[in-house]
Amino acid sequence: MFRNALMTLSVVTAGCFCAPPAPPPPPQVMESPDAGVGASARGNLRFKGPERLVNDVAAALELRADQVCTELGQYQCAGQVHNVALGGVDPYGPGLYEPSGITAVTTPLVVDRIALSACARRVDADLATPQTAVVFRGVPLNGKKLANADGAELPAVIGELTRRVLLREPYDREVSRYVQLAKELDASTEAEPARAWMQAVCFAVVSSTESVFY
Amino acid sequence: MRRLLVVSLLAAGAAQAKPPAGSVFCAKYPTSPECVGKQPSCAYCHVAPPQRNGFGAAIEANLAPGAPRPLSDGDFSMLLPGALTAVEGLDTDGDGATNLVELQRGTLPSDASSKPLDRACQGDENPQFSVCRYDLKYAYKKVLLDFCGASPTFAQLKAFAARPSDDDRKAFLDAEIDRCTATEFWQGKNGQLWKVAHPKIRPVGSLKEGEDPGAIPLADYYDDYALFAWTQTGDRDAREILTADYFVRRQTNPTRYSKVTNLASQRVDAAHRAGNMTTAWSLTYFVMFTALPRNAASQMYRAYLGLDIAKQEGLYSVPNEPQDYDAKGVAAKECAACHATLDPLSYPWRNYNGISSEMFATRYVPNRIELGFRNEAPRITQIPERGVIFNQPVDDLRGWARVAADSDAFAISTTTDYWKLLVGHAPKPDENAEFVATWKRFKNDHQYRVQKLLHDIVKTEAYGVP
Repeated sequence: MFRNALMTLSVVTAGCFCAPPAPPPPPQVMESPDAGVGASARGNLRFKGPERLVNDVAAALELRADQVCTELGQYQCAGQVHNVALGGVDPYGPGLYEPSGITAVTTPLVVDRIALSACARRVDADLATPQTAVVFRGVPLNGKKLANADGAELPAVIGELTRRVLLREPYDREVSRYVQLAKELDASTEAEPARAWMQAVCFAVVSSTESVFY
Repeated sequence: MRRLLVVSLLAAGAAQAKPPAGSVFCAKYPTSPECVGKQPSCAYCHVAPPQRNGFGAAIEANLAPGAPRPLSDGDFSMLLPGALTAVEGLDTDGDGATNLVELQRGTLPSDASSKPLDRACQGDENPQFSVCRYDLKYAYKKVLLDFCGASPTFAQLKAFAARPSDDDRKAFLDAEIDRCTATEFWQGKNGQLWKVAHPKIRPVGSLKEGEDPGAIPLADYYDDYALFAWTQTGDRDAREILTADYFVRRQTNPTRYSKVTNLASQRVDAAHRAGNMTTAWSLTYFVMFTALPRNAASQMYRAYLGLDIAKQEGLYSVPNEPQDYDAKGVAAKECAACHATLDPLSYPWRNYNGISSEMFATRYVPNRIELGFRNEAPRITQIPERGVIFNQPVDDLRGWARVAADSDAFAISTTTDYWKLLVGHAPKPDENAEFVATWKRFKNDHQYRVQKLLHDIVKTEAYGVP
């Protein structure tokens, strides 16, 4: 009995430390649309605003909403510090009962701030515990570098990220652009090219127009 | 000098806005979007009375030219249709659309940025969206974001697309709306319903009593949010936001609202309650220390009927008004155009006390004016409790609430609130036909159930065509 339990534990433990994490499924890359693509007749694009933006980023990157972005490590970026810049209201204090209805000069800065914070946290977690990585899983590393920028793993994680954030498969143009970025970072003087690539790709997707408007 | 003064006064009189103008306009153009359930405001012809915009100036030039000013209301009403006909072929704002076309399409003939749009489908096929017709997948994403606060996942979106038919997808969308409107995101503290309510309740944190108290706790406006949320959810009549003689208790974690007969934080007796118009917060903040609380009346008119008197909206002048019982000078010509509507609108508040007396704070007090304000002006005790709203006499505030709640203006205002929340903007001229059909269904078919209104808005092209 005890021996069986020990063997089971050994197998489980071995599985945890030895089996490489499986990369995401390969993307069904779509052909990039050309300039003649049918345009919206209404053009009624809406900015997600503070709650929806944070909820979506948190869900896509599997973070808690309060982990997405904080200032000084304790004040929520979207809900508190930058709420109005993100189109929120502040009814009880300054009496801002309705959103301004337009995005402010600082709105893009705050979106970038939130995207970068969330992506850094996701990448840190995925690199720290690759066995439980959520987005950047199964990417072989060579020290601080990507082991093979031409491998199938990079398109796989690009696909995973695009499906999670943009709810679609990636276009061929997006895949080639992000793979090219990996090669350029690898050839640069960047101290941690793999981490920098993961953060940059995540940031590009999460802060894209397609991600923050609906 | 004296001659100059006489000329100035005549000019001011001649340029005065004419409250009958809206009804005359709508008698001539009954199918104009400006006239379906409403009337054009003074701003249709005026920058701010007495100053006219381009369209108003063109009408003025064709309105009995050479006749002495001011015209009587009778002469004005008789001559205005001819003047309107005379300017139909002009394009006073130079946007390429004649005034007549703009009147018929609901755009503004004095604003070059407001003109009829004829949208056409352009370009090749779009791989992501059906850009020329209602796109159920697009609507599904929007429904989850608007009502639940987060997008679907990729897998959920695929599963939605894989449903067997459009009818099945539509039924699923309806179910998702009902699921999401039960969430904290929709009806919880600071959720979407509370956001709709903010400009109506106009909270002030420093004056908050009870939960989250401020430095000077005077009243608990969370009671107002609770009644609002209650009336806007479930199978409930939204008009009760103005007519309720009960209160609503909010419980948290998760948020639940329940109807109660009394609350310790509320003081008006059941016989004199009129929904959110007579809560402790409304009387504290909008009546405050005033004998004749015009601010309370105008705020309720604005918040629940969508009519902002400060923008010359919803003017229904009452003959022989304003009487100026409180001697504020409102009978002056410059003031009377609005106060002939506003003062009779305010009289039913005469016995609702704000915070002018601690003993009677936020209560209905018979003879309130006589008890607390009799020395403020010689005729002040003559303020009647009877008032007038939409040209209908009412005995008291509950009568006011009944007329207001049953009006087209209430249905239009409520529909506009949710249209703005879900579509993202107030109805545009080219969305007017859908908007009118939607508020009429809300009033007639759905008997003021917001839950059903939400389903209707999601089904509009304004919502679901990318």
